[in-house]
Amino acid sequence: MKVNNIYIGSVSCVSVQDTFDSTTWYKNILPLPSEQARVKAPDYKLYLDPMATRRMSKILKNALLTAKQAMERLSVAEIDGVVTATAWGCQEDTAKFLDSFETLGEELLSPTSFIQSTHNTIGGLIAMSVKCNGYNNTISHDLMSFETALLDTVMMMDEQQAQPMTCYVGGVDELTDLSAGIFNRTKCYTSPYTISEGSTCFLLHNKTTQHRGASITDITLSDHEHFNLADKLAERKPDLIISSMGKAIGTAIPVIDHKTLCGEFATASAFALFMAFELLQKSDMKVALGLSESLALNKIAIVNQYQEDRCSYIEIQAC
Amino acid sequence: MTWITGIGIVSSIGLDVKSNFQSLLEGRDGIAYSQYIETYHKTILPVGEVKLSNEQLIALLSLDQQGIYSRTELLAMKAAKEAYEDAGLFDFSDRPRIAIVSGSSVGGMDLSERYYKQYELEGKREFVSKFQKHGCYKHTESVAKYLGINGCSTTISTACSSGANAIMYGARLINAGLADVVIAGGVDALAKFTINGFNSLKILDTEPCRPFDDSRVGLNLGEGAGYVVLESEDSVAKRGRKTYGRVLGYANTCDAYHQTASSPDGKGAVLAMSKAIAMAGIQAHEVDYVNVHGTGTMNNDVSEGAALKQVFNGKVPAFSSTKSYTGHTLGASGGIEAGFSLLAINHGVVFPNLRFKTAIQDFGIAPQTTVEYKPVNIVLSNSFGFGGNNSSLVFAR
Repeated sequence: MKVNNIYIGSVSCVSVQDTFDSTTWYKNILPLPSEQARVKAPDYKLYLDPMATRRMSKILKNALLTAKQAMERLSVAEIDGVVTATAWGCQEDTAKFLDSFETLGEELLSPTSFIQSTHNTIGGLIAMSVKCNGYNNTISHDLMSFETALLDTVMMMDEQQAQPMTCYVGGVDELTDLSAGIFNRTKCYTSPYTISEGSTCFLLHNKTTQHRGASITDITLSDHEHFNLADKLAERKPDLIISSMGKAIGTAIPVIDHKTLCGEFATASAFALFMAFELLQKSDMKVALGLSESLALNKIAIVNQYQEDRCSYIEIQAC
Repeated sequence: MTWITGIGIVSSIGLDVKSNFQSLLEGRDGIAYSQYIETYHKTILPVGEVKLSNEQLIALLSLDQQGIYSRTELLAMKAAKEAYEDAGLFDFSDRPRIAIVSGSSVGGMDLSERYYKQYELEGKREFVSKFQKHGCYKHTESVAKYLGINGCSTTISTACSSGANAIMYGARLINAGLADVVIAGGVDALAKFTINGFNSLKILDTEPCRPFDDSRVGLNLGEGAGYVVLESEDSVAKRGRKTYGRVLGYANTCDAYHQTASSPDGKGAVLAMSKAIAMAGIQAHEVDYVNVHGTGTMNNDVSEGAALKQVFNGKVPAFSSTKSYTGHTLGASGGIEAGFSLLAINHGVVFPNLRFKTAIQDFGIAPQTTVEYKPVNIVLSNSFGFGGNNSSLVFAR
């Protein structure tokens, strides 16, 4: 689907790289351990009231912090919508609540971990903290969670074309000891990458008066437009592809693999989009990532494979 | 314009649309003690349980008896298949582009809660099969595979408003030209996890719930699945199908007040209802019936009632909570109640709110208490959830 007049105003990312605290994180790429990797957590007490957030799990704090940082970066005090993508949701609180009735029995349980276990608690919390009464949705569809959340945001904004709005869209997943154990045991991810986690968000808008870092120009899922990836690439001619599909894409266009940097998790394509955005803003980044100095970057595509025969194509362009 | 060409429902009051409708007319609820869930609360908290075991569902769906299924995916397959059949999608040779959007709050939790500790103990294959059912998305993919849907699929998880948001997402896919037909709705199976969760919040009633009654103390959890088949105008014309009505408007807003409680003035609910009505291009007084969220908790009914009074400027149309029949089916409720709303339109009937006796003090509004046949052209359906997620849908003849 071609997308018009929707811009990425700002981004924020908590990942296994130093993406939250440093704006030049790509100059100092951190190696990933082989078993599992956890995010480089921000110093929460610098940003969040420790009393108000003492019961919040890591995933909630990270999602909240990235939303706040992205809003600061775009200099906005309000947003008009919150769309969250999370494949596995709030695992820490889910496990905590399961454990509580396994160990304490089913009477006199505290509701806190139950309340914080639902997938939509993330978006609800962000909306509450920034007082956003607008659109609020949570998508949870495996490796396509982020792509279909982005599509939701864009469709919703398209519908409201006459109305200027700024919306949060984020890809949020956490790794816990239990889930790391299960993922490793079940070989849930058959990839060669380190299992990890991340929280990445984007503020999308359709305003003429607000900063435009990049424009979203295409979101296509192979299974709703029956597109052929080779045809799509020939038609759209991106300058760079960010994907973990590597040579399987079969193109002369340069491909870089985001998962060597962020690790493997279901909403990792949000990190790929973050990289694409950063590459369009920061001229020294491409060389730091091993790309040619002479490569002109105006149009970047993110290609994500889902199951054997499906993939998605997201494209952004410099403004 | 998005049309509805099929409905499928499985709930505690019936295994298909016809039996659900019959129960609604006869005032027969499905609230009773659980037969299938092993919980301390089994004989304390009544629930709206679908009256079939997993084995019976597997047989009914002609699935592999040896397979591992979450109850969630079985219920989803049952209702989605009925909707698919109803819309004549099985026997249509020139198949349109069919997508599926489903909502669920806890996905395959009914399996996970029994097996999550066993990952180090059980044989790998055994555990993998069970674990793979955990994700919210899994039932969506299972339905897609079961019905042969090859279009786009995605899953919404906004707790109790998941099903309504799935219908909204589906309508947008059609409006954006990304699908001709969308199977949209939601599902949730009863689980020890949710029973204990809602019980820890002290909002479950030990008796059958009494929405909007002064004596209400809480909700009954339920389970089930409800799907509608959404279809573009072109596809309806091309396939020459009968229609149940149209999706005229929808809105999703956030109360942004509290993680589990609604604001006393129902701010998010007011916004959702009024925006959906505005999108439908109608005046509030044109709404003939409101299928309310109406969980029967102290908090929801006061908040939703205040919102209704505001949106309808004191002249609230006939309204009822069909959760008094089915219990609160969480992610399924938006799908099931969309089906009930369309039945109201097509049969010209308004369903009663069971067990209502005494109006909330100084409240000024009371729900429909009898089956009433009358022309129903426009229905507003509310689904409100934890996290302040408020969604309203407007269906029209």
